Amino acid sequence: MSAAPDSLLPADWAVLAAYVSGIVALGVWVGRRTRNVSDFYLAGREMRWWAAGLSVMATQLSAITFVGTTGQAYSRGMGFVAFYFGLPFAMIVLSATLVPFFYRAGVFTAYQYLEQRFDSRTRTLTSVLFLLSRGLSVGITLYAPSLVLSTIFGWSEGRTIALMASATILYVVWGGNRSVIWTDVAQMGLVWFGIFTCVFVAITQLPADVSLKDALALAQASGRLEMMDASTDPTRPYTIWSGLIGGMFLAMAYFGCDQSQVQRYLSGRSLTESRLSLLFTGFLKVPMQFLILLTGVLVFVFFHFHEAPLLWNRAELQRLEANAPPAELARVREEASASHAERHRAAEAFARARREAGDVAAARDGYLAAERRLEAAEKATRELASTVAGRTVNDVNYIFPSYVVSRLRGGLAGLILAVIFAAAMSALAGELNSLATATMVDFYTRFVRKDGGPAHDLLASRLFTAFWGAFAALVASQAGQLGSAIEVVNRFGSYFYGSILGVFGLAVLTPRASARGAFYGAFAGMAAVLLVAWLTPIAFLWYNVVSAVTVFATGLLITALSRSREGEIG
Amino acid sequence: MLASPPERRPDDDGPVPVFGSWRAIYAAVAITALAVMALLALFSRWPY
Repeated sequence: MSAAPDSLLPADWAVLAAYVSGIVALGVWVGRRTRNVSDFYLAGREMRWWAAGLSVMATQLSAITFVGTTGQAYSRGMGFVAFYFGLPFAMIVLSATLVPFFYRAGVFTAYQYLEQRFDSRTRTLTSVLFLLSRGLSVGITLYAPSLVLSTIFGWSEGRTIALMASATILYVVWGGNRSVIWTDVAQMGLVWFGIFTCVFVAITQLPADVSLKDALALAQASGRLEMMDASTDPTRPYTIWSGLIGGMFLAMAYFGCDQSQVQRYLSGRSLTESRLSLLFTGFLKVPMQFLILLTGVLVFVFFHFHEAPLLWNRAELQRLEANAPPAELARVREEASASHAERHRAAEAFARARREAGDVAAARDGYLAAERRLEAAEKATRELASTVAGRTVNDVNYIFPSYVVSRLRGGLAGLILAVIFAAAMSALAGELNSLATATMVDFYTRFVRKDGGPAHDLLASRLFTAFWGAFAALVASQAGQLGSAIEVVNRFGSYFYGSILGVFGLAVLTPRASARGAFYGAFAGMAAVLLVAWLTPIAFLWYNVVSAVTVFATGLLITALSRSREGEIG
Repeated sequence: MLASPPERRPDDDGPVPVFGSWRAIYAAVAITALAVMALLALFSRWPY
């Protein structure tokens, strides 16, 4: 087993610094052409499909998706990819239905369209829901990666938050959506390069006598390659059906009704470009997520043959070593070391049996027994760490960054950490731009100052961007003290995403649906999903299906009842 | 009053880029998505 350094080298810091300064310089440079609110919100509606499409992908890909899903693949396998099965179909539905309505309505925000179709209170309701959910979650977008990166860098969380937030705010305030989209293009290029680099490096780091086929056979034997769960149990999180149906509704709600996405593709230079940008995303998303998860699986195989730390989170490990009863600590350390060594030998025996046509079935059984022993040892370690910390310790999100820092050399660690930075900053940039746009278009110019003039409107839009950036940094810096409130915030969005989708469904699919039906239907949808979440163990991917269908049915019912009453009165 | 986005006409939907119609493009994306799922299933179960 080889020892590994656990800190970044000067070359890594240089790559990271070059990335941050380069992306800010690019954002400021392309933003020099932003001269009015149309430029600021929709990049002058001049984007080609590939630029808008990469921006759609970049806004969706958060840093925690990158580090979290690799960790998930390491610990539980690639089943999470099912989450995205419905996405390409959602893109088809949106391209054929909502996008033409948005585009031809000539709107800055999705919610503006609802005023044209229904009434102003439906627009206000949906925009308030967007600002509440996105405004709170933008802090988590910043906090989650800063938590992981701070541990890796040895920095305070505040310092990491300040760096990511200030760099992003600078170019989004200056250049608006044009800066967001072009920096997203660069950042997605970096992300794709980073993904391929990770897969390539993980393959090259396998021992000389372990082929890629052996590695995949080990991953398969441990269940890490399983992606097609055909179970019809609605409580299971990632099945083919929850992915296809629930994932499709979730993707329709997010890409069709969330301003942070709508604003990206409305910047297309024609309806064709906007449609193609969504279809482009639908085309690439599943393969991209597959590669990210495959990286996690290859890291899992890598640590069959190399020493793994007792805990991936360095701060938790230090706490454990300082505070755990020595005898307990020695026991878990010894068991982890012994079971890891046993799995190492079993994995080599499995590869050898395959190579030399030995008893592969027996070798596979031996490997599985060793894998189960190691899993039990890791669980015992986490339980001891949780006891010492006084809360549940789950360090899945630290697996990939720890691997990067300890095993990648020659600036590669800096490159991959830059990719994680890029994922965080691109998501943050799109969210800030859309929050400022919704605040300005749906509220400020309607209720505060209608005739500010072009210069005033642009200045106000920039100030709102800065405000939301500062708000995100504030929420992120306090998130550690919020505890379970973070989970509440994360769940908050899923409770009414589907309801907003239902309102848009009523708007474009049923010409007869009334404003009253849409407005009260939205509340019925939110109530339905709250009840389902409270009373049933149904997996969260189904929530959007429940609420969207409830809104649609209730909206039509209220419309019909209103019409019949009007008929009676008439 | 806030300035409107650059004006676009309903015929802004330019020529269909490939396959002759949007319906054919949607069908191609759907078939590709199903093919990717089939490849993932194959990857999961392949006798390595």
